[in-house]
Amino acid sequence: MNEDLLDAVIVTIDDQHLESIQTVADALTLAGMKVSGVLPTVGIISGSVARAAISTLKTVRGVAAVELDQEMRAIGSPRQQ
Amino acid sequence: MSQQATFSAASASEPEQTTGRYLITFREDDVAKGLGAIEKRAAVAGLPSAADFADSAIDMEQVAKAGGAVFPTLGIALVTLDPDALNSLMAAQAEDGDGAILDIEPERMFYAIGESGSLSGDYLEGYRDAVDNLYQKAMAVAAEERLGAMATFADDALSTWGLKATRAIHSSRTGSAMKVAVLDTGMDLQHPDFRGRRIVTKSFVSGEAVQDGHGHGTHCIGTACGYKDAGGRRYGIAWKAAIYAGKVLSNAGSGSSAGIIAGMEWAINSGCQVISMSLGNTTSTPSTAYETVGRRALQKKCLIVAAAGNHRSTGTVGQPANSPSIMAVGAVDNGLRLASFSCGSGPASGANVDLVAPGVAVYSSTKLPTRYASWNGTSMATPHVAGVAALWAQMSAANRGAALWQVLTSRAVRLPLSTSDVGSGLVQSPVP
Repeated sequence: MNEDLLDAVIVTIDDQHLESIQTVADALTLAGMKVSGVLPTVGIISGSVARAAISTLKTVRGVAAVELDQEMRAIGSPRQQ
Repeated sequence: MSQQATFSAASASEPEQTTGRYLITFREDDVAKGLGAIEKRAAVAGLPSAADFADSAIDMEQVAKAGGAVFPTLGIALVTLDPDALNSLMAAQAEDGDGAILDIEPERMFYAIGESGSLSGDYLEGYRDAVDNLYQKAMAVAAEERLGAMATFADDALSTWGLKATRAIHSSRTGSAMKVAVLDTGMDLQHPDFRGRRIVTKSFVSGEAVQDGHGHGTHCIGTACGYKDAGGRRYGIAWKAAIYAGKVLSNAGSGSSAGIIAGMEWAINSGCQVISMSLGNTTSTPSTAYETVGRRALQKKCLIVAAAGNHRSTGTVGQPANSPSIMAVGAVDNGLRLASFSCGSGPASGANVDLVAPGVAVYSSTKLPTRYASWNGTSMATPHVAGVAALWAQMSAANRGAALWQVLTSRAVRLPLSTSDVGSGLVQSPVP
């Protein structure tokens, strides 16, 4: 597998570490994640990481879950006559 | 079936039977303050109180004579109001969101199934069996008649069928002072129908401005927060709400969760009472991230509604609507039949359809030069719920977050369809 291929990930911060989300973001960076967004109200950190390092991110203190960034689509369309 | 039922039953197709009196619910422990407001704004005072009667058994003749009554233990007053007094009281409630009055609703007629008096048990049992028999036979007819009669919603010069079905056209609420976020493909900021509206925008799609190059976002915003088309046909629900148009889907109609969740953070921090998300994927297992965001949003008094999904033929409610803390909205057509594409509930906890709303042939605004179009999708149903939620939120400052969710589901009209497909039923606006 290509080591340089990064997966976009969404990291959920647990309730106990909401107040210290920036510290968690720093720890994620140390664990190999390229952090692109820190959202303190909803407690989510977005970014990218090598697939092999995802399991490491899950062990970072304050992390509740690491999920691959899911693409979403608009789900309505013009009516077919 | 063309056979006529031989008895008269109130059906949803008939105008609702009300008594001309209104049930006013007071906020906890604020009965005295609430009665003060009624006296001041509606010039009604001196109502008999249940507390003055033995065992709180109020004398209904006195209630009829006085035009109302107060039930202090329940925190409710029954009051006769002329239209002016009703308007005055509703205005007072709207101005003072945290005031003593929680809700004003018309007193509805209820029909007894059977009344026990001095009749013998044998007689009542025989009566019950006969009624049961009649009921069983009649219900098959009644259910079909009800559906048949309800299948009359249509777009006309005054409004879309969806605004009729959700009773938005009968609501005096406008969404005024509410903030509704629509996270989608952006908005056509040149659309003439939104001139003069308070619009706050933000793009979370790198390299793309908020301007809607797709049409989907402008359509969803039109339903939730628009008003009337150039010919005067009303298609939008919360027509005085501030519009928070967050672009989280590209002009091609797709977007990453990083952008979508950033849009949710923005809407929550902006103080939006409702977030409408007509987007999703086909993954049936809930996402921890979306569920956590939904839960934290509810704690911040923000309700998130999302489209259940249009992939009924291949699966159940997708992400993010399958999160327990995000309301999943399915779609019905103008006959209140389930839309053929509308996803049913999934096996995961919380992955159920919560409500349905109009989602077939939904007429609304779209990007110029097309200007207006009829679209299909649970995407079209979702902003109906968001708009109606804003009306309920305007009605009372208590209608926020989980409480707003509860109001929407408890006031929905039950439909003779599988709960798995329609949840609590068809969303309904506060009337009057």
